This record gives sequence, structure tokens and C-alpha cells, in this order.
Amino acid sequence: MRKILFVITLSLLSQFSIAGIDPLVLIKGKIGNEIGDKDVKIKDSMGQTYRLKKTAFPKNFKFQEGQPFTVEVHEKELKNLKVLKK
Amino acid sequence: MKFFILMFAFQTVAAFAEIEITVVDGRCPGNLVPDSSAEFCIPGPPAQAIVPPPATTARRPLGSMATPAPRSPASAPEQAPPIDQSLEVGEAERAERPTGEQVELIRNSRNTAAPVSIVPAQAAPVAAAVVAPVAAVEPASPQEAPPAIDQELTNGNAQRAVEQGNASAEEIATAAADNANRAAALAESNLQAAQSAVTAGNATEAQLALVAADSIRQIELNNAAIAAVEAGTATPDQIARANAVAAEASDEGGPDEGAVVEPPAQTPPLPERAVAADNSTEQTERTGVRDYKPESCVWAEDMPRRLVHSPGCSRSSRSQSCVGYVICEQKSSSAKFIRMSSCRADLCGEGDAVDCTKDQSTFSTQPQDETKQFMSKRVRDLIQTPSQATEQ
Repeated sequence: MRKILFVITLSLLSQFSIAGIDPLVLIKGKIGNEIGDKDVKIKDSMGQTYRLKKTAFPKNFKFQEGQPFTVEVHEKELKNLKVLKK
Repeated sequence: MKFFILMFAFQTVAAFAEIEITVVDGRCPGNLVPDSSAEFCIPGPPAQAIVPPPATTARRPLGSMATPAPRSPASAPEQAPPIDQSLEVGEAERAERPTGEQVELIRNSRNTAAPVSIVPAQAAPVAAAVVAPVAAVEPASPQEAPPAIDQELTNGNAQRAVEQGNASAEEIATAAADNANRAAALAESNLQAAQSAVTAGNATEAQLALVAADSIRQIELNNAAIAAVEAGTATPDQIARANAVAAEASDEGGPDEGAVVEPPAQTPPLPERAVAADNSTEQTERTGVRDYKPESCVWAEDMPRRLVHSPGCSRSSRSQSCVGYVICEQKSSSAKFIRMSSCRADLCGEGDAVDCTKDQSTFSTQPQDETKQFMSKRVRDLIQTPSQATEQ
């Protein structure tokens, strides 16, 4: 029975075993005071302020100033990123 | 009741033995009454025999009891010599000691009256014998905790008190704890016996069920320990259990050294988690040029970094991988972002963020584009031209 558990655990953990760096970037921050139609101004956990596309957020996300969030965004979404403040 | 029985037995013995019972202070014991000469006692109504003798009776000199003489209460202290003070006893002792009348009866009846006079004296040991266990059952005060060697005695007393229905709360708790310990020991012995029977191949259905239940319980404990370690809220026992599970899993997976499960740093709860929607056009860009500077990567300290087991097959450390998060600077905008990075297990140290980011050895490198992926020509044709493949 324990062996079966170990096999199941290994199979679950193996999902994280692909080595390399993830093309998805993790962004933690809060919604800023400028909420546009296509993008929103945010301030991330590292103090950077920039605009992020609304498509990076879930569909049912409520864009309110000061709303915390954590999203994973593909780096292509940040290709032409302009950091407003560091 | 005992008193009446003793009186009845005494009168019977006296009647058959023809004992001369003298009158003391004008009274006779039991149902006897003074005769006409007021010197000897004869059977009669028990009115005066039941009345206990006055306390001043013991003050009388022993020698004067044989020749009773009328006295007044005022003259009694004057007649009592100093030696009589030793006979003055309290009410409780007087109930156990023979009174002056009984002493006189003993002297007169000699051999035959001796058993009668002994009866009250024998009552004391009986009473003590009854009281002694009760005193032993009484719970010890909180300041006086029983030593370990007396634990079994304390448990026994508590069990006895519970059975008798006069146990205190502490005794009930002690008895319950003792019962729990005994039940745990019995369950452990039963489990060991069942495991032995299962190993020997002659286990009954009940033993099989017992072993299965224990296995499930162990699995649940292991899962809880692993979850607690991952959440950073594990107790030392849970960390030890998780390490044991990891070591056992490592032994089964290959000849690598035992895994070390470290409780990750406590991370704040994520308010909301979302993954950007992917589409077919992103696939090419995902495998394209990476937009980060590997030399600028450092570990994200507030994110979990851990060793995970992996079914790798190309290196000696194939059974483990390091998974963590790094903060890398972008090439285009010099902005910093958090990315997940995985590498060999030996690159999971504090200063190995750059090496871990550059390490692409485990599971090879990412394909540069779709054409370099490992697939047969037919499959590639099917992906690129699905309509043509359907027509074929």
C-alpha cells in the first residue's frame, strides 16, 4: 500500500521536474489608480510601476484600486514593457 | 444491632454460667435489674441497661466497684484518687474501651466474660480495616504528584473507585488515561500479531482488515506530514516523518543519497491566482529567444524553493530536482520579474541561482522551435496540414 502511495506521489511531483526557467513570469502586486479599457496600471511587489494588459487577468477579476493580485503572464506580454517607476 | 446481639449473648452465657453480676452505681448491664438486696443483678426489663453509664463512672476506684456505695455527684471528685485520672478517656475512646462496668463484669465473670469484653476491642481493627482502603483511594493532592513507581497503584485505586461509583474527577481522569494506555498497548500488540500473521500468510480477515486500516492511517499521517512541511507549519515529528518518507522513496527510486526535505519559507497567502490564456501563436514565441539575463538572476527569498523527485534518466541526480523562483532582469526593459526555475538538485544552494538558471541539463534543453521537436515526419505533417491529413 505504501509503495502505491509513493508511486502516486512521485507521479504528481514529476510534473515539476522539467528543468529550465519558466517563460511565464509571476507578478504579484496591486492595482493602481489608472484603469483603462485595455490595460491597467499596477505596482508589483518589487516596487515597479507599469501598465499591464487586462488580458493577463482572469475574466471575472474586479479591477479596483488597491486590489491585490497574483498572475502568471507570458513574457511575450511584457515584450514592449515600459517601466514607469522603479 | 450488634449491641443487642451482644447483650443477648451475654445474658445467655450469664444465665448458664450462673455468673454473679454485681450492681455498680445502682445499675445493671443489659436487661438485668438489681435484685432485692441491690447487690446482684438479675434478669429483668432492659430499661436501665441501655442507658449508658455516666462519665463519672470511670472516676470510681476499681476497688470500690465491688462494694458500691451511694454517693452524690458533689462527692465524686473528692473520692477519686489521682490514679483514676488515667482512666478518664474521651467519648470516642470510651466507645472502644471497656467501661468500668465491663471491667467489673470481666473480673466477676472471669473466663466466660472475656470474649464479651473483647468484642468492643475487636471492633476497632475492623473499623480500621474498612477505613484503610478508603484512605488509600483518596486522591493525592495536586502538590503531591505520585511518583512513577506508584503510578500503577494510583491507577488501580482510581479504577477501584470508579467501579465503586465514588470516584472523584481526578480519579475518573486517571482511570480513563489508564484505560486509554491499556487500549493502545492492546491495539499495538494486536497489530503486531496481525502483521506477523500477514507476513506468515495465515492471517484471518480481521487481521487483514486491521493491517489495511493501519496502512491507511500511516498513509494519511504521511500525507499530512508532507503537506505540513510544504506549508511550513510542520512539527518536528512531521518533519521527521516526511524525511523518512522521502528517504524511503529515494531508496526505491535509485541509488542516490537520501533526500532532504526542508520546510520552505513561509509565504503569504496569494489573494488571487490566474494564468494568462495561452493560444497556438504563443507556442512559437515561448520556445524562442529568452528575454532575461541569466547573470542577473537571484533567488526569490519569499517564494518556496525545494527538492522534488523526478523520473529523470540522464544524470546521477536524476531522481531529484531543485525547483525555486528566481528574480531575473529583462533584456529589453531591464525590469525584474519572478520566474520559476528548476535545475539539478546540487544547484539548489543560496548562491546557485545563476547556475540553476543556466542549467538546462536535466531533461535536455528547450526546443528552439516547432521544427526541432522530436516527432516523426508523419505527425509533423498532421500538425502542420491537418486538412490534408484528413483527406488522406
